[in-house]
Amino acid sequence: MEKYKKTLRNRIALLTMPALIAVALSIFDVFFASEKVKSSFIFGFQVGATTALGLLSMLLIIRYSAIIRDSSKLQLQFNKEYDERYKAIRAKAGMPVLLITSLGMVVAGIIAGYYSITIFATLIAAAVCQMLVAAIIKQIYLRKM
Amino acid sequence: MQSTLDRFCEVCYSNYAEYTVQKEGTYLNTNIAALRKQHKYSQEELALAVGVTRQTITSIEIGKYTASLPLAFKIAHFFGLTIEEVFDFSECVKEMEAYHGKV
Repeated sequence: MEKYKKTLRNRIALLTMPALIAVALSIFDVFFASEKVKSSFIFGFQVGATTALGLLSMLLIIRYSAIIRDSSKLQLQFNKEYDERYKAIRAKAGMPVLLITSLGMVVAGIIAGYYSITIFATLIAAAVCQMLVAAIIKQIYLRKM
Repeated sequence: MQSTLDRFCEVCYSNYAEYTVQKEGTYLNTNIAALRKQHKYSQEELALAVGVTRQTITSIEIGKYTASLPLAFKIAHFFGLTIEEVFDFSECVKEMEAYHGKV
């Protein structure tokens, strides 16, 4: 269980990066972004996505910190994470890969959005569709298995 | 060290488990629920002891999910029994006999 505790501590360390990036980007957006950039639709979307990323990272950091302190919660979380049925369901839903590619598409969409709104819309729609399909498949297998 | 025979058995069992999951309606029957009641253990207690979630134990008990060989071993070991005493392999044997009959 000490090894798993170390894994969670590493995750907390990794999650501080997106949280710090979100804070840095928020400061940049408020104080340093030009009025021309601020007026675009993509800027609003990017601010929203950055804030959501920061909040999610902070929530996960709080959650993992609470789990590390409580041994019973730690055991339950360990069982949940390494549960073979859950792992099989996630694999069937293509979860790790689809989540990573979807996040990549969202980031690419935001960057491309400053140049072409069509590319932005296409990439975001594709990412949302991918995540929706994965979530639906996961729900189906959770009932089936 | 894991012997070749152990590895062979593990692969065979894993293939069978995968096959039973894919082929709807043909699952391993177990008497985990009866053993649990006999020893007065809850699903949570068993799940915690063998390192899975309560939902997985439920799925195995009702035959929706076929446990992997390591998990089957852990469950059997928890009750102090052999895998054959916890899991019913009669369907497996029938299928193997039918398969060999065709060959």
